[in-house]
Parts: sequence; structure tokens; C-alpha cells
Amino acid sequence: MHLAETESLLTAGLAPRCSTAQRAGALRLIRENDRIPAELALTIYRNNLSGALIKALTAAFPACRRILGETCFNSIAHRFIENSPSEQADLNHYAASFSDFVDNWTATQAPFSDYRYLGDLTRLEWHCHTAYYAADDPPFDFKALAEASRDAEETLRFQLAHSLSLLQSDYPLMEIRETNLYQDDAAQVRADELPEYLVVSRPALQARVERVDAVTFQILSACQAGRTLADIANSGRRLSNTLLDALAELIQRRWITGFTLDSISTTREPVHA
Amino acid sequence: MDRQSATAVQRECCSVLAGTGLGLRSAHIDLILSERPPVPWFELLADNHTAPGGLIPRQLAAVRADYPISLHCIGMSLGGTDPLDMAYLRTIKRLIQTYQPAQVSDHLCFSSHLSHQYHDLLPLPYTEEALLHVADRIRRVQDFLGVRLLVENVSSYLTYGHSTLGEAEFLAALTDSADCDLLFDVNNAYVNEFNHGAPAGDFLRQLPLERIREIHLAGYEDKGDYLIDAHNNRVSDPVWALYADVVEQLPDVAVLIEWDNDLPALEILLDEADRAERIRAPHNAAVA
Repeated sequence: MHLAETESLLTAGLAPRCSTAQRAGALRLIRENDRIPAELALTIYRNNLSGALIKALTAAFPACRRILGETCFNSIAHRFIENSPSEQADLNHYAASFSDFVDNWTATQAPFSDYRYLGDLTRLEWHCHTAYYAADDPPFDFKALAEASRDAEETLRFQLAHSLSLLQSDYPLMEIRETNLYQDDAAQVRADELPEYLVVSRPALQARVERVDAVTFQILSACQAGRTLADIANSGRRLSNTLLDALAELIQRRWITGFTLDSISTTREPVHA
Repeated sequence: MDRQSATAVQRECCSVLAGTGLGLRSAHIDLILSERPPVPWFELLADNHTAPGGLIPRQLAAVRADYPISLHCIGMSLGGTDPLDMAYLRTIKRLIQTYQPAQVSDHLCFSSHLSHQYHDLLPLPYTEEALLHVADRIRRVQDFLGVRLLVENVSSYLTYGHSTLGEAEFLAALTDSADCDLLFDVNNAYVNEFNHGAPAGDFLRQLPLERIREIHLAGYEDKGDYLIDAHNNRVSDPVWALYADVVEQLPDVAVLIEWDNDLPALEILLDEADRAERIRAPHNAAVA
């Protein structure tokens, strides 16, 4: 039997929802062993595989896990794993689609109808997770911006920090997350102004979540979408001092870290620390 | 890469590991950086340290400033039949260039298939076809990374009915064909002896000892009828006994204490390392 066929048969038999024929195909590969019967061998490997993915989900979604409890979280995580095989060697990238799965779960499973916010909460936790592992950014190149021509606004696009993500939610996510991560007893969560506009970034070495106003959120969203400065400022009008002040603050906060022009780019490779 | 050039690269970028090192775990890093414990070297689990920015690379740079390191990988899928994962290998190459590890290792296994990642060390059938295939992949990985790999024997919970070679026979032929070195995991050899009945002493005797450049020690989980290579315990007595036989023959080879799950305080790991050195001491005056 060829190596590729062996690997296909074994991995098919290890799949969480393998068919009887797939399981039988894997079992036929295995030499008889009194200590570890073939069926048990498959179970051991199957548990190892799911264990690694559960561990990754546990690390990425601590607040969600606290809210649901370990048993319930693991049960949902197992269902996610069954439908979402890992496709990248780096486990830190696994579970990007967990939020969509949780959205669907809470929408379709009656006992979870009061937990509709969990989809957005896991989205926020995922942004924190990716911010922690993101590349560093080079310092903003003020000199290059100052040298840009006066009509540069027509083609100038600002770029956001590698760690930055934006999230708009109808739930008070920031408080829900902090309550469940940093307080021993879950406090009553109060809804402040909604919708909530959140920026996740890594200004130093840890991910940080901050509330912003709707205008700031719109500017950052426009930058993220690749819109030009002129477009952001409603093309045809002069740039207002208000917008310039807002952009200056976003650069100062290191949420905007670079820019591109049609003719030049100050976008540099991520800095490797 | 021929043997001479691989060795030259290794010597150019690396220090030589000696003594008993520890697996570097994030829970211990602050303590290590503040107290600088007398550990001769640390092993870095490459797959846990791939972040290009933020805290992790800064911590690693600080550790590397004071200690030699080795780089231990689980994602090369040396026995896999998918194309080599060049994105993963580029990440490993970046880590090698950044941290200049003394040694780079992965396992005799496959960990991905048909684009699915399994994040586990799945066993290979020991056949002539697999031998040629794995040797070719190791040669290509070595050429790309510019280092000679250490290939580790894995613990397993199954063997294949169509294997035609023994594990040690396979590894010995592999080192010759691919010009790679070996990482001998004593715990894995013992777990396999218990699970499959193949004596670990015989296994060791069939390996080319001159190719063994690193030794791993870890604790298993006893399930009664079988053992799991869980890395969640102190090294067990039978593994210490086997280790004593190993260091009698390989007194100068670097040793590592691995502990991944239910991680204890650093002092427990230091205590295990101290025990490994005391067992080795009668055979190695330089380390003692």
C-alpha cells in the first residue's frame, strides 16, 4: 500500500464524523495489539486531535468560556471542530470563523436565545487574540507625508496598524468581557450608549480594547476600506480642520501607521521585533 | 546539501549544546528573565513562537541573549504526502535567522494530509517507499533551512500491518540517506516498548549512536493497559533507568526535560534536570 493511501485511510478514520466504511478502512491498517486494540488506538488519536483544537479555542475565547462554563463551552467547541478542520500549521490562526458559528448556534438553539451577544463577544475576543500575535508597525513617516504634493489627498490612503481591528455591536461587549475576565464574581452588566464602537489594538505588548465615538469609528472604517483622504473628506470640499485634527490624533495613537499615494508608498514590511 | 556543507552551516550559526536544558514555557519566562537560573540551554517550541511582533519575540530575544537555544518543530510533516508547507518553513527559517538555534528538530511522522492540519504526530508505516519519500523531504527541508535536522522518534498507539522495516531500522537508514541527525526521546522509546512490546534497549542498539545529537526526557500518563506520552508528569523510574543506559553510551549529548501539560513551578523542572545530570555525572567529567 502506498504511503499517500495509508495517510488517507488513517485520517479519514480519525475524522469526528467518519462513516462506518472509513472507520473500517482505518482499522484494517492497524496491526493487532493486545494492549491497544485498533478501535482504542483510533480513539486515542481522535482525542489528541480534538484536544489540541479545544486547547486553542480555550486560549482564544476565555470570557465566552467563563460565561458558558467549561462543559457547555467544550460541547459547542466540539461541534465547531467537527465542522471546521484546521487548515494552517499555525494554531494561532485556527478559529477565525468561530464567531460566525456561535452566531448561528445562538440563533438556532433555543436554550441559547438569551446569549445572542456571544457571537459579537467571541468576535471581540478573536480580535484581541490576533492583536496579541500581530506584526509590529514601523514608525509613521511624517517627513514623507510632509513632502507629498498639495493635491495628494486625491490618492492618499492611510493604513492602519497591523494589530488594529474594528467592531460595532449592539451589545455592551467591553463591559461583558472585562467583567468576565477580571472580576471574581460576574457583576451586573449595564448597557451604556449603544451601539458600541470598539477599537482593538496593541499599543504596547498587550491587546487593548477602547470605545470610540461614531465619527472616529467611521474614519477608521474608511481607512480600513482603502478609501482616499479626499473620499473620506467628501470629495470636492476642502479638508476641514476637524478631520485633520482627528487624523492627527489617530496617528499619534498609532492606530494609523502609514500611508500610500499612487506615486509612492510608505507602507513598509512589518517590523520583526 | 551534502554532509560537509550542512555541517559547515551548523557550525557557522550555532553554539554547541551541553548539559540538561529545559523546554521554555511562557508561564516561566518572566521568572527566567528576572532570576536567570543556571540552565545550560532552553528548547523553543517553534510552533508556539511564530508571532512576528508583540511580546513573544521580545521575550525570546531577551532569553536568547543569555542562553543557547534549540528549535523544536511539530509542523514540518516530514512524512506527509502533501507538498511541503513553504509558508510554515519560511516562518521556521525566520526563527532560525533571528534566534540562531544550536539545533533544529522535528519528528518522524506526518501531521497534515490533504490540506488538513492535525496538530499531532501521526505515525508512519515503515516501508521502503516511505523511507525514500521521507528522506527526500528531509533533504529538501535541510536545503531550504540551511541546517541539518534532528529527527525525533515518536511515541505511538498503533503500528501498521504492512510495515516491512522496524522503527530503528527505518531511522538508521533515514539518517544515512537524508544525512540528518537524531533526537532520541527516551520516554517515547519506553512508551512504545510498553504499548507495542518492542524492547527499548534493542531499539537504541539499532540506532547509529553517532547521529544522536539530543536526548529528550518527559513524563507519561499511565492509563493502566497503555501509556500516553502526555508530558504532564515527572520522568518515571523505568524511563530514568533507560536513560542511565543511554548516557552511559552517550555521555556528551545534550539532554532536555520536556513538560507541556499541567505545568509545575520552574523549580520542579530544575529538580528533574538536576537528577538527569546526577545520573550522567559518572560518565561525563566535563559536565559533572
